[in-house]
Amino acid sequence: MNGLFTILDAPAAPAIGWDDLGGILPVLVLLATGSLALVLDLFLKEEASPPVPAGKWPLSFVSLLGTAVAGALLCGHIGAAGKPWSGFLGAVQVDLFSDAIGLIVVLGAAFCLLGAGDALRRRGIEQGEFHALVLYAAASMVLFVQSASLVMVFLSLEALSMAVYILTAFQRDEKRAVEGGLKYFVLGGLSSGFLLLGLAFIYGATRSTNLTDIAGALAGGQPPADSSLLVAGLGLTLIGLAFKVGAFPFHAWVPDAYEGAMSVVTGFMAVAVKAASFGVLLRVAVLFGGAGASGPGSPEARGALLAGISGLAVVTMIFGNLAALAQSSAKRMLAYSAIAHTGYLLVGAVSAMEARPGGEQAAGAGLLFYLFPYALMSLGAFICLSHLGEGAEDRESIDSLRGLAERHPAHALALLVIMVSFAGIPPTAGFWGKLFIFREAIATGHWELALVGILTSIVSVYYYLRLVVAMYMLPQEGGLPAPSLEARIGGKLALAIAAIAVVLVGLFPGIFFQISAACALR
Amino acid sequence: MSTGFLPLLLQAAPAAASAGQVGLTHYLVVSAIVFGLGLLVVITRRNAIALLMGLELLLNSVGLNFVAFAKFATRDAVDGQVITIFLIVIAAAEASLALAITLNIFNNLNTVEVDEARSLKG
Amino acid sequence: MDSSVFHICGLLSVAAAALVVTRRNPVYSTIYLVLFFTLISLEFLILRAPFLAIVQVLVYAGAIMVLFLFVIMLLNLTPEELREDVSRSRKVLSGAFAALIFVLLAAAIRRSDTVRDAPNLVAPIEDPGLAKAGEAPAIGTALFTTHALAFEFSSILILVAIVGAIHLTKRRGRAAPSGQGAPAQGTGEQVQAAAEASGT
Repeated sequence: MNGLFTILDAPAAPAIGWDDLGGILPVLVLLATGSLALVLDLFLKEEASPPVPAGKWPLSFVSLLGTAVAGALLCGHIGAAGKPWSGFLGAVQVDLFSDAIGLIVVLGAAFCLLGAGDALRRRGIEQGEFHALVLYAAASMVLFVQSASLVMVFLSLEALSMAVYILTAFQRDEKRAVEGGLKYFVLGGLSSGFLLLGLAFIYGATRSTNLTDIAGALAGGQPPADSSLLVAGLGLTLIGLAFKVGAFPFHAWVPDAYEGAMSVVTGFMAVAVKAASFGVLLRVAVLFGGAGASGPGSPEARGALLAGISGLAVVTMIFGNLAALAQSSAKRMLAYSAIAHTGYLLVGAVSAMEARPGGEQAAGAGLLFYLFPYALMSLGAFICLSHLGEGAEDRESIDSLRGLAERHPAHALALLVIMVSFAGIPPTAGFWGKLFIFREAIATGHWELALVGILTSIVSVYYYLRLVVAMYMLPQEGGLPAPSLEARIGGKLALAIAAIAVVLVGLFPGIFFQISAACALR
Repeated sequence: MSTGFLPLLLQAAPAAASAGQVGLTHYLVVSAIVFGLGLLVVITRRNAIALLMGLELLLNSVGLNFVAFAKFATRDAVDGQVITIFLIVIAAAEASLALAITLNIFNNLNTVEVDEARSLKG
Repeated sequence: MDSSVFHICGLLSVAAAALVVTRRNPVYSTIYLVLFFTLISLEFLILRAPFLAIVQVLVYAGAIMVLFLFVIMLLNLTPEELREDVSRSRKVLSGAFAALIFVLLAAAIRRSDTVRDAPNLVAPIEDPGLAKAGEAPAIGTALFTTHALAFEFSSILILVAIVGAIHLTKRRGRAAPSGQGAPAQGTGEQVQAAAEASGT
């Protein structure tokens, strides 16, 4: 009884109201749409024995509508240049940076759903669970970037990871898929363990679970933050996040999970998981190691973070590009190239740590700009592999793409644009992304990172162009028969949008860079 | 293999041998040892079920860490304990999902060894 | 009193964890894991976290471990199937890596001021708020105020796990569309076939 009275006597706690729900409306829209897709599937008829081309179109329609609404809400927030808003008693913080990352995540989900209808139908597993899991994962990712307390950080991370593990193994009768899913699960669980222990040490060092309070403790709270525990905690957190983004010594799951999953899911993983993890990585790096944030307790932490992230960036760029050279499967090659791009993005994170608040350079503008064309290119490339597939197979080996230019010239052209952009040949979007990242790195005095980046980019031209050579110059021999693509509207649409957007970003990089700079961390 | 940790334990916690008092150090060292053991399982074993037990060890060591920090190093101990409750939620969800994947693997490959069926090359 | 209980619990829990690691048979590992969870729960009790201690036993020892045993029973693995051939070099390498992580953690703990200045366990707690922090009212209040969003969001986490577990283990009632892709095999039949094969 005593306990009960203490609750009743306690001073009225600050209330959570509609405003709080309104602040995370995009997340709620995604969650609601996901649940709707789950229920809607019950009312849809089982498909006829020769599957009809449209399949369960209401599922795709509803879930795409959800991503469109969520994307529009995020765009509206960016357009209104809203002030940072904190809700749920400090559990979430919504600012332009989280909106921008959220937009990339929603973009990834939308493209994945666009291409998924056909990919699932071919395999006979077009079920509402897929759409629901993609939407739940997207919602968790948006919340992951918005979270302002350690509890929300690891809960949303865990939710998004679990959804992605399931999506990897979604093709449940395919050996490679479930095996890739298990490997991803085990290494992902290990990385969560590292991250959680890191958060525990950060909690011990700063005595708080709220990022705002932690920032206060770093800036000279009483008693000051414990630098020994802080450095250990940040190191462990960095290891955990490096697993999630697939940086070099922690990349072991990337090729297997990327190869095992359906190509549409691989595109979603390569884009959305990476964007969300980089969002949090950047927040952590700037909060604990930013040039302006050095409180009494953090110079050591800043040094450790800078050294750690720079080292990861160098080895990741070198390893990813060299390993991609040796691949004969296009999907695996793209997986290693995704590792290489993680390296370039880490360079962006290093220069973000040097940006001073109030200075002319906003922290992470280059990284944000890079993420956008990277998202379009990866989604386009993986959806194209899925789109050209037949039966339960996607078109995976480089040899199977031989002679594509003759049979499907439009697809070959779109893939050509994407590959050229991946390689960073001017004047494509990929070129501008690399240019901005390396320029930031040189401006902040990290020219050695830029040098490694430029040299490894030159190496990367070789393996991207191998794909182009196979499509345009080598005659077809063996391989998969040419699929008929009349009925596959979603994938065609996604590929076209991706290729056109890559060209547009390449032609008008200025506008997009301004938006990224406006959305960067302050 | 586990005996290798004992000298390290004694080295890291000299207070443990001398005084009968228990401080934050002891909890953190126990948690660190368990974390090391969990890590060892996850990177050594190939049996999927053993791997999952390793993950459970990792989560528990983190939980112990949070509660110990909450008790000894903060003014308001509730936050650390609430985090540990969420850790238990995560552990339950993770275990159910992991066992589902394991069952599926067994149905498909007739083994629970992660490396054995190498349809994916290393 | 507390300190001697802690020493016993601490040593036993490390020993139990080591046994979990070294047992080959997963059933033995699971039983030692139950012991480990119970000992951790006792340590929570010493740390004045009674609610957590109860939840730990209920959820871990009660639910999660039963799930583990259930799956092990369902798989019905023979000793031959359980034999793992882990190479010596892999053992040594991973042992060295785990030891390295432990040494780094221990070094950080040793150098830390917070840890050095932390009060003793047996020291009386002056703050009445702290004394009640581990009981259900305080935790419930925190769950429904500061951590309300996390509490609600954990339902999504569980929903994801449910959807995934059902999808991955569901038996296929019907064949895949004919003429396309990999042949869909009834996973249930496979389990039966495997069980028969291992039984004979």
